[in-house]
Amino acid sequence: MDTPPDTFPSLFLGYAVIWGLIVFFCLTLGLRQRDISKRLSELEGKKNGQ
Amino acid sequence: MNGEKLKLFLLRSSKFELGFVFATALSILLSLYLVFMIVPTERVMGAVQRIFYFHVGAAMGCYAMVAVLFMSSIMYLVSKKITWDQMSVAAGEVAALFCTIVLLSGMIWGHSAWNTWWRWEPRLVSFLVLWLLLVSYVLMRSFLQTEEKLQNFASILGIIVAIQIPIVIFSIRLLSPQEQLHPEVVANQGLKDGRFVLALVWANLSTILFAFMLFLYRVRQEFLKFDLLIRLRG
Repeated sequence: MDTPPDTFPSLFLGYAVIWGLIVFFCLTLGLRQRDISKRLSELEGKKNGQ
Repeated sequence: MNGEKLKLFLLRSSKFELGFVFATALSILLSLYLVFMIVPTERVMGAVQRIFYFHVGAAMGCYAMVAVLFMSSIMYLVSKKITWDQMSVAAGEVAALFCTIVLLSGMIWGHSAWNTWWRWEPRLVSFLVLWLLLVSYVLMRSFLQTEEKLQNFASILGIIVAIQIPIVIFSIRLLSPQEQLHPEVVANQGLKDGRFVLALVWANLSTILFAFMLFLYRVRQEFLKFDLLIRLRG
């Protein structure tokens, strides 16, 4: 019976790329969210300070 | 469909949202278990064939998001309600993410299975065109603010992106199977073992759920950004 070829390095690279891109997207989403929330709270602070 | 009602539904944190996130996480874990523990190693390609499940799943997630982009672009052109445009922005970004995953995972798999990263054949080229259209859409939106004329152009581009989907699907029939490397696995009933089919169906389902989850959080951010813009201007 034939033994399947050893293609684990490609499998690892494939999954690293798939989940790496998803993690990158979630990180940028989180950073943008933090920026918007910060600016909104600054505006709220200015409004309350007046 | 009322855009404002939909906006309120998407903004509301509820038990439904908690259940949705939990179901998505659970289905992804289950599909990983199926792919790595249940599915047998393919005889010709070996372990790398396990990329297939999330490669196809990401394509399904991309198609689902392009469907949302198509619907919301049409709704914006018809109603001129900003909520639909904000939904288009979010759907376009998530679709671009999944399209990139499909292209890169396909290239890595192709390099291992066909000994080449790329081949200029109909399925690959049409998918590259889809990716270029989505990247153009995302770039266009990142430069646009809220000018109505530019939003109209973006909505038309959103519809053009959706027209590319049937071209991608049917491009595989432009050449005979002997002339191209990209297989038509499902239509040719290439998955003989039931475990392959189960893992593929489950991975597709979980990736579509995941795409909608990312869309939900991205569209909420777009609503918040618009509120910020209104306050800054006001």
